[in-house]
Amino acid sequence: MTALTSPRFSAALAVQARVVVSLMLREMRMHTKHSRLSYLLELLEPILQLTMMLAVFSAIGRRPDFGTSLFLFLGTGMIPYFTFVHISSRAMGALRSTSLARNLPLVKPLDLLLARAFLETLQLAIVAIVLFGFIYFVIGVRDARPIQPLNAIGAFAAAALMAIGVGIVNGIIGSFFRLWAVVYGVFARSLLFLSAVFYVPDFMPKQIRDWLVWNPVLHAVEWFRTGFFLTYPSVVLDKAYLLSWGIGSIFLGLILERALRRRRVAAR
Amino acid sequence: MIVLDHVTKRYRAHGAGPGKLVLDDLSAVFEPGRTIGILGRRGAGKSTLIRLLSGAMHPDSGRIFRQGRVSFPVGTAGPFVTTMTGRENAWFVSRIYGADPAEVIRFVETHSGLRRDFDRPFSSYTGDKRGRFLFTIAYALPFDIYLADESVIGGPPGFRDWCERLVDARRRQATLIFTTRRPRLLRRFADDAAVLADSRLALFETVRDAIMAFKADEPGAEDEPQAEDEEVWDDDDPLP
Repeated sequence: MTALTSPRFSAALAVQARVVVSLMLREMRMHTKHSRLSYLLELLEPILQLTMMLAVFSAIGRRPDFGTSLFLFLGTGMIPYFTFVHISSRAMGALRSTSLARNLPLVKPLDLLLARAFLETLQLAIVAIVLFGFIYFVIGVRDARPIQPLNAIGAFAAAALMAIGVGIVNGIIGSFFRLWAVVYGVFARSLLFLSAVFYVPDFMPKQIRDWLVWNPVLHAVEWFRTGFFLTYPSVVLDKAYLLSWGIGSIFLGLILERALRRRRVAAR
Repeated sequence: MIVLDHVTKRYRAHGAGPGKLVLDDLSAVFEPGRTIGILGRRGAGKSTLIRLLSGAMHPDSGRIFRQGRVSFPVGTAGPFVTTMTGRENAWFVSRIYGADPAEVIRFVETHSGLRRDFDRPFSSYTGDKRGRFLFTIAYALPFDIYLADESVIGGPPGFRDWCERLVDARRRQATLIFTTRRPRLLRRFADDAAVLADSRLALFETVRDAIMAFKADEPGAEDEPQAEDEEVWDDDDPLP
């Protein structure tokens, strides 16, 4: 029986990394299988949505709350928001669709979730680079090149981290209540209005601001914007709050996953 | 090597009631390098046992220790994506299990006899082609422990002979654990035998003893009409 000790941590980690990378490649292949164009459109969805919003705001003659370019102001709000919403809802789907994990026992539901989340993160990073590249080169807004790149990258990573954590928690809830995806979808859409995508929280009346600051996505947007605008007013920004949400949700998600694993399998 | 340590599995009843006890306090050691055939009637818990061994399912209580790479149940289509081609499926499954994709693909290409269908979507495969693909890919992957639920070999008749030789070649290095209700399959492949009945696993000294005990349990069981598993196995098909 001594031979049957648990595998070493490094060996187990190597297996997991291999599985997750394989799943990412597989996911990409399955996306492009149907049609390359639809995959491209899916990738560019944030940009399309941004264009729509821009068209509406331009039509009603709205000026950016900060900076000179409405495009850049909305873009810096949309990218962290989209990062959070996309990853958290797509990750939820991965944990619920468990047929592969049932058929390939080496693949655990969490691997599927991580693969989906990493792939989404990668895609959104590309989308962000394309978007700000476009604003910089084509529209000619010099501010689109982040003046403090580390702030922008840090905010993006923090948003992705929290999205993965919330995605795990969502996936667990979703495997018990099918309707949770719909509920969360409504919630995620309303976050668009609560996350400072098209306004500056510091310019809001105090009684509204005091409520808004509870939303962690707002802090991701604030942090992201400080990467682009040197003088961006960010009194409300609390990085520790955002990171606590990220780490807290990941811990909660992993604990729930482990504690409810058997019941989750039975509930399928 | 796989060790079962007081494994119990119960299916929850829909509504009230204690549910069905499928496996009751099972303990067993499956030694490396052996082929173990497990006989059991319909509903005895054969598939449940294979799924527990593979890790696709967790026991209610007790533990399962595995050493070595354990396969997915041989001959099942579950691991494969229907929209991807045979080649792509082979590539991804090899990658996930850490095998060399090029080598696995070469093996499947040479031996499955799929020819141009290897590059067509898996969903377009007919029954024969599916069998050829599923069994070749499963045995192409270098597992230490192969698991099979009823379907140790399969595919069209001509392919089946080659498949049998392939299984024999794998048995020389690896462990094979299969469940079946056909004593004939045990006679052909098994080194060790066990009978799964009444939620318990009884191990026997020899394959012959196991088959005798299995048949004594219900005389003439082998002649029962078996309409449901036309998929892979045909009982009239003679085994050498």
